[in-house]
Amino acid sequence: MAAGPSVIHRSRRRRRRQRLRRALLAAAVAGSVFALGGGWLVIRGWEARGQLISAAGLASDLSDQVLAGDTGQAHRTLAALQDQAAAAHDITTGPAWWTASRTPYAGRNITAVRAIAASVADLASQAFPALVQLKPSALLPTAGHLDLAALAAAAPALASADTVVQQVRTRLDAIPATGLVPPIRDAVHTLRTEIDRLSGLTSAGHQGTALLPALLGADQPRTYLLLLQNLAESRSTGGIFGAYAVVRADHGQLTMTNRGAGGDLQQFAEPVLPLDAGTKALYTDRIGTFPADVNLTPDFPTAAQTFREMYRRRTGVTVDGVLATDPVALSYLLRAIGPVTMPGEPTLEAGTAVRTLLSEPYQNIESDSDRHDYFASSVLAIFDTVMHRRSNPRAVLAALDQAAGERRILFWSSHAGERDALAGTELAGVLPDHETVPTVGVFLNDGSGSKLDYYLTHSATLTVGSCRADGRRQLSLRVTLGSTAPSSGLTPAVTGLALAGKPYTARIIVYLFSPVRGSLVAARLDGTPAPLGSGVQGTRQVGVISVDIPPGRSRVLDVSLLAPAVPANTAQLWLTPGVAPWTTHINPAPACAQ
Amino acid sequence: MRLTRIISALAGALAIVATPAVAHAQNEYPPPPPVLTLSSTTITAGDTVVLSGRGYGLGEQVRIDHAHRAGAAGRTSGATNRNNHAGPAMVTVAYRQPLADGHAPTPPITITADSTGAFSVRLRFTDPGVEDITASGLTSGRSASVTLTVLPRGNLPVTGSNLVKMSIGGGSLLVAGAALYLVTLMRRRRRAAGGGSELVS
Repeated sequence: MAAGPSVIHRSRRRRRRQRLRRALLAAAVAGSVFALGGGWLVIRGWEARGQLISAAGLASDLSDQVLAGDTGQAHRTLAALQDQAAAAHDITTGPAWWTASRTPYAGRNITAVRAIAASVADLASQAFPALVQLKPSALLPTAGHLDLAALAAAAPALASADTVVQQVRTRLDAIPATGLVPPIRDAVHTLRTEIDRLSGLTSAGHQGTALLPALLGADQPRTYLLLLQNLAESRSTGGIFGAYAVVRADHGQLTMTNRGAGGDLQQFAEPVLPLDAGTKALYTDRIGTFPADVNLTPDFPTAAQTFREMYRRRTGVTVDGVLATDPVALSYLLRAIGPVTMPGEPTLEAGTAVRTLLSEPYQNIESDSDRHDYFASSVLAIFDTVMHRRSNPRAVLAALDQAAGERRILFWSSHAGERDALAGTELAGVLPDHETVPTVGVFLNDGSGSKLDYYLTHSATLTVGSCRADGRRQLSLRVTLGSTAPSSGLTPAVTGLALAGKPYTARIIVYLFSPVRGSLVAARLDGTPAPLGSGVQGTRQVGVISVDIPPGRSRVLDVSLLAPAVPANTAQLWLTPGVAPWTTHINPAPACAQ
Repeated sequence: MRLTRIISALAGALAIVATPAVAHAQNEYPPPPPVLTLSSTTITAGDTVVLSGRGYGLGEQVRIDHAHRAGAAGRTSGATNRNNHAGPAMVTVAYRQPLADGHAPTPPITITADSTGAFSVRLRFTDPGVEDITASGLTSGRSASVTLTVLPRGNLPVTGSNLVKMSIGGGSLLVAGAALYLVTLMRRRRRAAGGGSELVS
């Protein structure tokens, strides 16, 4: 009996030791399996990385070849890309990757890599084949005619490609931005940027091929007012509607049926369209009576409809839509189509077109009517060249894309369905009624009756400030307006009415738009408190201030605003496009504490 | 193209013929500097603001009205209450030309423009919301308006913000619970399906 307890004790100890040994062994096995698995993942991940990098290179080659119309080469590139993408996708799928993606620390990174591989594979197998079938040359007119059948034929392929691209975009957006190792974070960022660009193209292509046949008269002939904004006399959307042309589109055949100058339409005794009290208070009756004032508002549909009605009253012609552009956009187009010659006039070239169209005519052409004739002829000459010259589609699309991005191409259609399709794009020229990121608008309007804004320079800095107790966010805006105008030697055609008192001093009426449901607080001009005129447009408070800028001088306008309580910790600007580009800077701030 | 030019010339000629003579001078088209301005376009209820006008008749009587709207800028659903005599929504604080009896009048206020047609008056607004302030020249008929945002004084009610925080907290708990449930469900499905191919997402 005496030995009993000790034996029991010993056997218990042995059993405990055995259990420990077994546990250790199990742990060792598990550990080595884990290490092996991890190592295997690293090796396979490295292979996937190589394949993804080469896929990225192929994708970039492919987009060049598609836009250059090199279909044969594009097909070969696509096949190679599909192989690489599928291989990378295969490597990153399977039980090991699935398990690894659920581990607490590495999981996020592995999930991100798998999402990248899957995205590239989807693009290669579903989106790119449709794009390779496209003939970009079909999107451009030849011999004055646009092939609507080719456009319509491209529509289904572009629609399905767009669907896939939007799905991929959603999947990439779902990858969390935090907790990724730098190389993977960079890869996600690069791919997101590329997909944003691609989705812009496919959605534009999708919308374009769906809309263009009807817009270009596939069903019934259409007429449009084509307006050239004169940036030398600024208005909120760019400049006064100077030269205009009426373009008729019939089954893809475009012809210009009339041309003239906005001023020819003359002043109206009463606003041509009813003005609500808010519009009248901000812009006065002028916005409805003078062709030169319809775009005092930055809302392009209002400006377009008013001008269209003025044209109808004078000519009896009701157009189906209004397209506005400016000489800077034309200079981008000239870069793509090459110089345009005009008999007896200087050649229009990309580098000099803005000066040729906005400055020289006021120095060299004496009568107003000769000058208007010159503007109209220039528009006609460029239009003719676009219609007849064979140009590089990629260059033309890039020029149009840049111009549209800078809001230098604005379009309004009298057909509600077409307006809906373009809603929210830069072409629509509509300040949004709902916004996730507060938008501050700075719109410039010449108040001196001159063409001095050719010499205007501008910059804007928007700083997101502290949070108020009520959740509203302070914003501070600094706008610097300068004039590079000479102090002598300009003709009366440039100095015009000289309403600023001194002929070489530019007067800018600045409209400052608060964010949606935000408000404008106060302004200082060159450091001195400056009272503001004020009104409301939509759900934005609008401030008005007149700023005189002597030649060679600049003025600094500081504005304080309030944004409503929204989660965004940044803000954005909406500006009047001018002759000189804006220098802009946005300073975001940390999110407000809850 | 020749046809185009002929048509365009014709249309141009027609346009000129069809244009009626308009009495207004063409040089009135550029937008003018604002007629009526505020020293500040957003204030806190109870604070004052300076309203300035220009371009009225010399020594003209100018009537100042205000219409109050509840809520933020642009929200037109709120009731409009023009010339609110019932409450002290708008009170004059100071004139450039003090009244003979030295008392601040109640709205609508009528004041006298100076020898250049300008005036300046300090006003106090007590009700949060949006104020559309109009200044009308009683002789010239000239009228202009400005919009003022009046924010509530002090912070939002404490109960309100706590309620918001509580609902956010409760909401995130709910979301987390739902996510957990979904994950379990997915795993169970995957296990039930068994095959390796199901693991490929």
